[in-house]
Amino acid sequence: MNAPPVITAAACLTPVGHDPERLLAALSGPLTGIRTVPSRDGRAPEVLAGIIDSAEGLDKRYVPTGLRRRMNRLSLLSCAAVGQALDQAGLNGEAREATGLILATAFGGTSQCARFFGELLDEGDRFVNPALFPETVPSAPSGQAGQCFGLRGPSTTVCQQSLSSEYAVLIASRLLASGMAERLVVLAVEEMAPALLDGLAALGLVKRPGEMTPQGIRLSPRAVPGEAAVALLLETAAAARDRGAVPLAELTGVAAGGEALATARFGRIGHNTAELAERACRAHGQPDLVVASGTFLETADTAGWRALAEVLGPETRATVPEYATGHLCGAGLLRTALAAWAVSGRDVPCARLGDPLPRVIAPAHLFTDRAGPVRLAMTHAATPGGGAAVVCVKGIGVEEGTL
Amino acid sequence: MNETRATPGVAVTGLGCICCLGRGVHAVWPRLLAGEHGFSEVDLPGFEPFTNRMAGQVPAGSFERPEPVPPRRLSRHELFAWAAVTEALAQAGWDAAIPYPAAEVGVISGMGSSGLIEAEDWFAGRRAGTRMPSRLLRAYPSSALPDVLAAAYRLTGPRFSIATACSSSGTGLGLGADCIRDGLARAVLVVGSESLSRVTFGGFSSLRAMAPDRCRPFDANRKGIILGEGAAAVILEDADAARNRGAAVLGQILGWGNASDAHHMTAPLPDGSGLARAMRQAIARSGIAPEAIGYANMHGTGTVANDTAETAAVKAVLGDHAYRLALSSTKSMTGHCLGAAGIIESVFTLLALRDATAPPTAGLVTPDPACDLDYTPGSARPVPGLRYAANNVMAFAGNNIALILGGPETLP
Repeated sequence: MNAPPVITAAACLTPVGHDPERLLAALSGPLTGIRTVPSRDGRAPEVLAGIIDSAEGLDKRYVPTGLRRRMNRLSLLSCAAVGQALDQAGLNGEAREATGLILATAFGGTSQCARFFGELLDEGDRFVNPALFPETVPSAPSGQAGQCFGLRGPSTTVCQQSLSSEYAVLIASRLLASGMAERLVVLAVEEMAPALLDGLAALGLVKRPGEMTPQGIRLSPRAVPGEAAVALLLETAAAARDRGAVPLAELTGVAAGGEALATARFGRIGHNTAELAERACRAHGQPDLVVASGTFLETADTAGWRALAEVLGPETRATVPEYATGHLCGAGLLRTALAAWAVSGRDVPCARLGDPLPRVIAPAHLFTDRAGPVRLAMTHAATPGGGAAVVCVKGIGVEEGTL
Repeated sequence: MNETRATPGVAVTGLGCICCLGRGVHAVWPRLLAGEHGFSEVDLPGFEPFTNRMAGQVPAGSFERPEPVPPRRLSRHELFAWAAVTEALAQAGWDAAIPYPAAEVGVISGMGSSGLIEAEDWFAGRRAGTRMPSRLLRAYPSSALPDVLAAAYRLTGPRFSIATACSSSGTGLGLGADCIRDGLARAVLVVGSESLSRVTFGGFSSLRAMAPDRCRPFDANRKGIILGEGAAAVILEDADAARNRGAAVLGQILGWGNASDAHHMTAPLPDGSGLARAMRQAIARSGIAPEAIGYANMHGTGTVANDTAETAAVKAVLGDHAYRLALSSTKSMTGHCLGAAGIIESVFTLLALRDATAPPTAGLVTPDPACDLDYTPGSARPVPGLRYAANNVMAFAGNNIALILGGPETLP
């Protein structure tokens, strides 16, 4: 039987910073990446969202000028994350040629679609700029990253709303197990472009500025979305060993599924959550830390939290990185990255599942505990439309039977 | 480095299809074999300003009144998918009841523009200061279709969408087969659907990639693609499970390959080496000898770059055998259905295996000297003893997929 794949790098660009230290600091301090996003045209409402203010030169560091000029913001953020991950992993040359890339995103190239369509309406098909078109496809960031870093292995783009990242990890792990690749970058990216925020606001899904107070952000029937670019390097254990890589974590399992609901029914999240969490526990053991998804949707988050507490026990520690960044939609891979950092020794601010979620969320007031040594971490995500997913990672050298 | 291992086949038990040639395999396949194309000027609202409006539009009246009635109002691409899925379910004998526990049936969709045509209406209206109903945005995310289908049929297994433009649904078939091999599901409904949209029309038009009259793959005078729309659905089942329930097996997914060019966002590597790697991987995973392939459904878009690169890839992989097998591009008759192309053309490949007949490349009159293989010009041709076939898909950003399919008699 194949040994489980290993995570040998984890990199991120988030609204609270582009390294794990700043993300962890945001979970225990006052820093937040969530702010008021003004209306672009005066017609759309102001909303709350987690926004990356600057790539801090990471795009310039990893993407040559010639390529950078041909990339939109989504692709630049993606390449910055991939470049960081490849750098961390020490992966160069021939090894990159055989490396593939699995991309997760919920809303892909919405910004570019809006830009191109707007210009098409203004200029017509004869005079619209053709250079804008290729990045309208959701898979564009993977193509750009492939070109930038010479990644010629298998490549695909997965979209399943807030479960996109978990499905990307699942697909990547299966491709490794089947021998189609020995190494894959798993990249997740979401951009809160004005066009996307307008659309989400029109659907009544996004919080207005009045729901953020000095005490925190109020749980309500609306969410706070956020943007991020996250990249992991996933390798077969043998491939990592052969090139002398030092893994962060071992990927012990991924599970996803659950009912699909014709209309969003937030109360079903608890049911779907409980089923998958129980299954994961039976297969992999009791986690020391849960990295749960957070949306700021009252029913979704409280139902999920309560279900996890019932299945895993009230003393189980849990953290929610999206309470600092906003709900990352398809870029929820940050949960898996945080889980990998936790099992590799970083001390993660957390709460206990038995502590009820407050009505007003401020990470520094919620995550007052520390996870301590984490041998097994479980991520969890669920969608209001049905469906849930979990990813389990464990520390290197931790025996399965001891969990 | 891990060696690519041969993988067990996965049974195909249901097929469904809708495109510009009509609704249903029974309507589309005969027209395909007759070399008929379905191209006409698009008559959808909002397309009037386009300089070139030639496309493969799904005939009006063939999909707007779905049966059975879906549980919710569907967008254009979802209606296409609904038509294809209901046909496939009926053929598989799943229309009365799904024969497996809900948690053991997955749904995978391959998407291109998804619900973009409705979202365009919302965007254009808002831009003009008109209040637009937010329901126009519901089907915009690429994940909308598998959620709709899973809700309608109460399926709770793994479900997701692949959104890699032209290679989406081909990838969906490969991953769907892998889900079954890996024990993640006992059956998977794979569907690909594409609706025409102004963004894709404008995009390909701006790239000067669209032919003015018809698509002529591999022809020396080819002028580019004709965009198409439509959907196809394939029911995949674990071969033993299909046999045990007495299902009629229509064919097999034997193997698939996936490789990237890392070269250019819209043009393939001129030597086709990315596709060649995908083809070699697919053949290795299928466990068959390359010489056993008797027919290949080519990506064959009708652009200069694609057709020559793909020809080079086939020659590199198959050597002399490339000159012996029948190949064709059915885009010459359906147009390029983007996200749905891979699965629509896999359905045609499975039908070719069933009937041991290669569909033609319509409109191929003056072969390009750089494309010197046998693309079955003009009319369909029997391929006696046809057992195995290939389907190639090449997408934006140099994403290459190859599938190896087997006829029903190849199931052990």
